[in-house]
Amino acid sequence: MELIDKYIYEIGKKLPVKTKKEIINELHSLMLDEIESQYGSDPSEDQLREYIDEYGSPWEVAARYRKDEMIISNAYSELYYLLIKIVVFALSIAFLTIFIINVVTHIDNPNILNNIFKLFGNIISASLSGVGAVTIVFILISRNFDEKEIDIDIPWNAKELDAVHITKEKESKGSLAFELILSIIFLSLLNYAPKFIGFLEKSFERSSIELGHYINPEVFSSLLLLISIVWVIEIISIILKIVVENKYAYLFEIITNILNLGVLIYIIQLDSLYINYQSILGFRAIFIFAFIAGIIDLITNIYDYIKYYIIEN
Amino acid sequence: MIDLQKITENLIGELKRGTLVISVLLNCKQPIYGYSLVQILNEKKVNVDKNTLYPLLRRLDKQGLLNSFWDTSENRARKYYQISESGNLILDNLLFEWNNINKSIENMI
Repeated sequence: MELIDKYIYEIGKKLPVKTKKEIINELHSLMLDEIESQYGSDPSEDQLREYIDEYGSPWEVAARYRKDEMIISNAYSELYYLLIKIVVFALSIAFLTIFIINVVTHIDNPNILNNIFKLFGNIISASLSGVGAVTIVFILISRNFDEKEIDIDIPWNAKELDAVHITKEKESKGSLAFELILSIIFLSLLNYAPKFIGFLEKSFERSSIELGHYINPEVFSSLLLLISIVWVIEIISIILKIVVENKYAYLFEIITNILNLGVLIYIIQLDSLYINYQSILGFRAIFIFAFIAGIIDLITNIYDYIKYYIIEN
Repeated sequence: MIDLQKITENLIGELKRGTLVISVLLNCKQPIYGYSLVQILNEKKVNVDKNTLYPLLRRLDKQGLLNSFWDTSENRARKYYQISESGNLILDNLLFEWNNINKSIENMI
C-alpha cells in the first residue's frame, strides 16, 4: 500500500506538528478499514487511486483536521506559509549581500567572524519582526472574513502521488530551530568570551567534581578559528535541513558529521591542549563522549540516507 | 439568476451538519471505531461524509464529549470512541432542544 503511505505522508506535511502523529495513525487505520471493506484485502493500484481521488486532495483532508487548531484560517494558511518563506528568504538574501559588501570593502581588516555573527543576528531579528507582522495581518484577516467565502476545492489527482518520495522526518522544524539557536549562542559565547571554557571548568569544581586536567587557554585560542569554521558549517547544515530538506541537505549533514569528527579527533589527541594532566576527567572526556555521540549520529545519518534516498527511492 | 438547487443543497447540508453531533453521540453508547460508525450511520440513513465525520470525532473527543482509546489487540490498531459522562448530559440537552424545535416546526406546517 505504498500509494496510501505516500498519500498520508502528503497529508501529514500539511498538519500541525503537535497533532500530526496521532492524526496520521488515525487516518492510516481508518483508510485501511475502508479499503479492505470496499476492495478486499488485496486492492489493485487503480482501486487505490480511485479511493484516494474520492477521499480528496491532501490539502483538503488536512484542512478539515486543522480547522479547530489554527489561529489562521485554513483558507489563508497556504498563502501565509508562502509569504513567510518569501519574507525569510528575501531578508536572508538582503543581509547576505550586506555581509559580502562589508567583507569586500574592508578587505584589509575583514573581521569575518564578527560579521558572521552580525549576519545571523540580523537575519534572525529581522525575520522574527517580518514573520510577526505577517502573522498579525493574517490573524486579523482570519477573524474578520468569513471562511465560507473561500473555496478549498483544489483540483487534484491521485496520479500526482507518483512524484512523491517519502523522506525521513527525523527532526521537527521546531527542534531544528532550537538546535540552530543553541549553536549560534554557543558559537558566540566561544568567540566573544574565550575564557568561557575556564568558567565552565570552575563551575565543575564548584559542584565538587575534581578535574583531572585543565584546558590550556593559549592553545585553545589558537584552535578557535578551526572550531568556529566547523561550527558555522554545522549551522549552515541545520539551516539547509530547515529550508531545503532534500537529499543534498542530508548529504551535507553527513559531510558536516565527518568534519566534526575530524576536528574532535585532532582536539582529543592534542596533548598540549591539556595542562596539569592527572586523569582523563575533564574536557578531554567530554570531547571523547562528543566523539562517540558523533560516530552514532554519523552511522544513523548514513543508514537513513541509504534507506530513504537510495533504496526506497 | 438564483441557483435554487445550489441554495437548497447548502441549506440541507447545514441542517444535516447541525444534527450530526446528535447522531454521533447517540451511536457512541458502546465503544465504536470510526469506519464502523460510518457504516452504522449509513444503515440508519444518516449519510455522512467521512471527511466530515472523522475530524468531528476528534473534535468531540477533544471537547470531552467522547472518550477514546486505541485497541491494539487485533492485527490493525483501531481508535475506539465512546460517549463520556459530560457527553451524555449534553446529549440529553440537545435531544430536549431537538424535540422542542421539532414540535414547533410541526405546529407551523
